[in-house]
Amino acid sequence: MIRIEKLRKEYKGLTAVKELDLQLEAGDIFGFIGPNGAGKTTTIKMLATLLKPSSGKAYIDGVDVVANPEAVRERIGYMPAFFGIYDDMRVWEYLDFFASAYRLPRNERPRIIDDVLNLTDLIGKKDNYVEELSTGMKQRLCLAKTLIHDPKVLLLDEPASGLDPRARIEIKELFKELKAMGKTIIISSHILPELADFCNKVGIIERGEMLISGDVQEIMSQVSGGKTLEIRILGDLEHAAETTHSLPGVRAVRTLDSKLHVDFNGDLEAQADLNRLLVEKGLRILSFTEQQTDLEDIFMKVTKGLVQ
Amino acid sequence: MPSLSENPVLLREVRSRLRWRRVSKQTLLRGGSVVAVLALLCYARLITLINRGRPDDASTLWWVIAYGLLALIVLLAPALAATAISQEREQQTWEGLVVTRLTPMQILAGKWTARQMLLGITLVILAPLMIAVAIKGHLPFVQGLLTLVILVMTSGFYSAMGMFCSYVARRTAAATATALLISVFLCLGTLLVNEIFFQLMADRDYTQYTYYHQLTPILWLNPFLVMIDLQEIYNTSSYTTPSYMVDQWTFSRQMMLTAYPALTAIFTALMFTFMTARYRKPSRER
Repeated sequence: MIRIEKLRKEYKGLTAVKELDLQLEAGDIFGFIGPNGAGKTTTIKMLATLLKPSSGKAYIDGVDVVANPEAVRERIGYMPAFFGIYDDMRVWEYLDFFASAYRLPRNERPRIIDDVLNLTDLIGKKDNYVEELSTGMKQRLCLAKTLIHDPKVLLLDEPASGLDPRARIEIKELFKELKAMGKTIIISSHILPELADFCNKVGIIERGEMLISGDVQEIMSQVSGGKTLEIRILGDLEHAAETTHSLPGVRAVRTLDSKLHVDFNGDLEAQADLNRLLVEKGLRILSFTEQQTDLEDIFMKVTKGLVQ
Repeated sequence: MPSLSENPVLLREVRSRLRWRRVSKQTLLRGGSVVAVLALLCYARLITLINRGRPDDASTLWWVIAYGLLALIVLLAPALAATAISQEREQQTWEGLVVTRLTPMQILAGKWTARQMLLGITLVILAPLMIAVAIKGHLPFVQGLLTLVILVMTSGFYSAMGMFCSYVARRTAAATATALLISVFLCLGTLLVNEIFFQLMADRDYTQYTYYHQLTPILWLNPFLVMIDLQEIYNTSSYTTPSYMVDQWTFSRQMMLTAYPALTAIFTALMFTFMTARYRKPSRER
């Protein structure tokens, strides 16, 4: 559905995006992760036909974004990181304006508007003026506008930025519904927990370079290279660390907050054996848990250059 | 492709200008009725006065209205149009508009047409008065028609110029200031440049150029001069000057009356072409 080949964008004296490659299938939800200024917005804008790449190719649903921007615009819904809304219109007028701009048939517009308002939970605000809406509602209205022409691909640039926790949860639920609808979504964010729940693919970008991309689970195992075990020990922590390090499957041991953090290669059997061996070595174990690796860990490791 | 009457940008611009639509219908009806009655009374009285007056007074009033409208256009049209694009960028609504299926020409045409409303509404309001004045003042039909053509062309050109400034400038304030400066230059600066030119030429052979001064191309875009020429072109009977000079003046004025609409149309088209060509490709990086 989305294919990016060696995409590059250069500004005067700055390379914003370097030889980016990416391939997404229909229904993929791609989390585009990176610090501010990493090149996420530039990439999304190139896909949205708003910026011309310096070199490389990008295709959406098989259509070249540079050669045929009009055809691409039919297929995409783009929600910018910073967006304005025409405050002096009613909610339905605002959506009707965009429905008309996307050339939806006049007789179908009322139904479509009701549908997207229902989806975004704004149906109760249909006759309100836009300026009367809260920030979270405006965000949802912008998303409703993005969905009005039922695009196959959604390009969402920092869609939850500036929202309070409740609005953030609400918009997250909305993304899950879009996922269920089978949309292909690229969603950029530097707030990682908001992506972890619904992305099946992620890409981490820093200084314009895609450091790593692919299936979330694959990346997790690739980056962490195994499991991290968290062991709480009663007694001398340094001695415990030395003892643990010598055991099979243990790659590294760190002491943190009176606990051992053990990088470990092995399955559940090996994990149980490790526990047994530690006890046999005379260590007094209070707790033995497997630490969940999340996107935040991956991001920190990748962007620190721990994984190349 | 939707027609102009279905252009969503035009409809939105028109809606946003009708800010009084938030007032309740009752208040609107009451206020509107009072204003309409007062306006009709004033209008009726004015038309009665015109009918009782001399034809010369009516003719003078025609030109007062024409110059008044022209002044209104050259001051307001660029200022209003200068908000068209830069304000959308400032409000961060431009990208949302550009990624829709609207063509650049539809967006620009919608915005441009909405900005012709000022002239349109004013002309509709003044139409009965202007008709009464034209009839009473025995205004030649062609002269009246050309007056309207010049007003319309001027409005179109100055709006396009304001929009062009809005497209080029990053900030609305800068766009407005630039558009007004250009407007002032075209109305006053061209006269100054023309005068400097003829002062320099005067040392050589002043008389050779005196009657041709209106052929100086820079003056062809001055809306007030073209209106003066239109007013004077039918007043040849009152000249006391030799007929060959009158012929030269008439030729010069006909030249102005042809050049002005042609140039404004060409420049308007050029500005639209530039603006649409610039963002037909995905290269907008502002």
